[in-house]
Amino acid sequence: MEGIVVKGIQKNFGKKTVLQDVDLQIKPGKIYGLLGRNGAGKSTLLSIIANRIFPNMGTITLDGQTVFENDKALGQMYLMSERNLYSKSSKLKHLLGTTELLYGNFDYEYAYQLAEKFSLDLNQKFGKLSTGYRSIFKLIVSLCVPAKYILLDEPVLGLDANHRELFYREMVDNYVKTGKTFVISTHLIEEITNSLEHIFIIKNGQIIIDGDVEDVLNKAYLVSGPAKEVAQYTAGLNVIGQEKLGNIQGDYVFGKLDSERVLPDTVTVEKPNLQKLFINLTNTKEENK
Amino acid sequence: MITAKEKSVVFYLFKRVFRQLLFVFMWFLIGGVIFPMTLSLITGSNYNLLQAIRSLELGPTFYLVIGCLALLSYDDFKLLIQNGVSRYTYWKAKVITFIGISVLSQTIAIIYFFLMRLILNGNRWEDYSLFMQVYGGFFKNTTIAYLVSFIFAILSAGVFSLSCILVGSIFSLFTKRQRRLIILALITLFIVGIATISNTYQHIAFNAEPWFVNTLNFLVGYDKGGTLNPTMPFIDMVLLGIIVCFGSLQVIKRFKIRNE
Amino acid sequence: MRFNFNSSEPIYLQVAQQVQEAIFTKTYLEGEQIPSTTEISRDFHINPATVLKGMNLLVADGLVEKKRGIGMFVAEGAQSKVVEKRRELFYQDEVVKLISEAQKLQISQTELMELIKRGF
Repeated sequence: MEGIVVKGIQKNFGKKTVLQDVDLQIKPGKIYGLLGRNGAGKSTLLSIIANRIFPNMGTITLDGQTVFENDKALGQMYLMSERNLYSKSSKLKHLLGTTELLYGNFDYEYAYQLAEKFSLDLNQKFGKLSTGYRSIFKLIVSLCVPAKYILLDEPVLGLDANHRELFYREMVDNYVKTGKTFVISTHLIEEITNSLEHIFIIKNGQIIIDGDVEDVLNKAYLVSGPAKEVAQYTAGLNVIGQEKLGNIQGDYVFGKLDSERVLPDTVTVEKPNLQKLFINLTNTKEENK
Repeated sequence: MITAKEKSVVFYLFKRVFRQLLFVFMWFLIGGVIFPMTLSLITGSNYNLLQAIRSLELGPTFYLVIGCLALLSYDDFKLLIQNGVSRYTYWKAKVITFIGISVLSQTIAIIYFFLMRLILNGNRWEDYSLFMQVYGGFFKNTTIAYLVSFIFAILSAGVFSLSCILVGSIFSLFTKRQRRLIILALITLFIVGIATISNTYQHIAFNAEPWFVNTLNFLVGYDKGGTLNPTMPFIDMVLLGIIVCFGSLQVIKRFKIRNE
Repeated sequence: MRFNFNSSEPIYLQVAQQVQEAIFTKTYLEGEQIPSTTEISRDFHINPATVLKGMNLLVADGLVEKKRGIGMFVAEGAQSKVVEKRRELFYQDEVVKLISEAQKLQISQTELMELIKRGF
């Protein structure tokens, strides 16, 4: 099968299960979002895909070949993680050189352009950079590296609004030019939603949503009006969240509405945005109360 | 035999180790030659530069420094996995790098040694080489004895660095905190062990078990006739090399990025 | 162009509407080139597939023409098409609603005409 195929992944840390029965496919040439709250298992999943840690069960393949201890597959991926794997005493310039040596065909020209745009001095040592600039440096590498699959784990960590904006711009531009596949894991959804084509929502170590952004949004409804009528209308439907303000109630429904039911005049049906949908899908029961 | 990626990793590691080696050596020279020289200039005491250069123990220094460099594993692993390099490739490249750099450095050390002997009337190889002292008598021909001992010096340096890779990679499986605890435990164990042994054997004569003596004799190639067979240490070294090599592969294959 | 990312309207429709609006207001004249999919995706970080979907709507409506390897251009007669389309929409959305509300308020046809004349 083409692309990265994740099959039956389970991962335990001690007695705690961090990922359970994770199945998904990352096809070439798309921008994916891996959305989940802190601790949902996003980073763990990406680390397993890039063979940095081992799963307890399951397989990861790239174009049908296992990524496990496979130079060829690993060389087609670049995982930018929150954890810094570059040595603090290395100069940024030299790190670019190492990337070129090991991945081949590094786009230096673009890297220097980006460094200028982000006003990053490449003569510095990695350890001297602030959190934001460490992210920026890793982002620059991820945009210039010749790997086909770019996995970004919380890419905008510590970046200010201008730099975030600049990054999204460059990423989409890079995507259009190179046709690379991007997988972006984040809990800051609002800014990135429109750049994504396909999303995976992960909750408590399980994938609860896997679909194209538009299809996912098409299945979401916000039914609001007087509490009694709303409750009647949404009874038996897949209500994933609720907002209440006095007697007014808003029910988030994910899935089909019942077309047989008559919509009372006082009740309106709207389409929530991804951010709202995400919040309601990933809320724990306690938070809903 | 070797893929392009493996070549790149060997190149990377070689360059890195070489630079570290140069760095350590610079300090070695400063500490061993330049510092005492400057000190003698200030204090006006006698300092013999020639003597210092003549007795520069290049071979053992390389031996130790390269061993120490071989201990470091986790940082390279981090950088390499970030750059899409598998653990197997890392292991292979590391073994190639350290064997290569050991061979190279010991060869240089031997050449230096004989240059010093020729020009500055330095030490005699027979007094200097442990192998020559123990097994030198076996050979009728001095040239052959020299050659064999060179090869042994080079081989043992390689195997020593491989052993250090194994030890270093085992340590890399643990977090910094765990490592500190282990080192502390080992040092304590060592001191207590030494103290106990010296206490025990102060009063009792050392009487080793026969099987122990026999094994030891076998390993060093000691014959009942009283001769020492120089092939045995070679066989020991090669076997040890294979074991630590395979062992370090098994350990490195278990490397993973830690939370720290 | 302006996009309301919080609106429930799908982004591809917003893309189509924004370009259509620009054609209507003659920001882009007939025969002129409009921003490419890439430019729009980059400037507003919208997924190129989404932008393309919106553009394809405009192509299907005959408002925009693709010229291979060059880009997208406002089609001949696009402006009047937009005007026509909006008139039709005006009738359906506004006039029909107006009449229905008038009927609820028991305003007769002549009375409504009078009211319209007054407001015009």
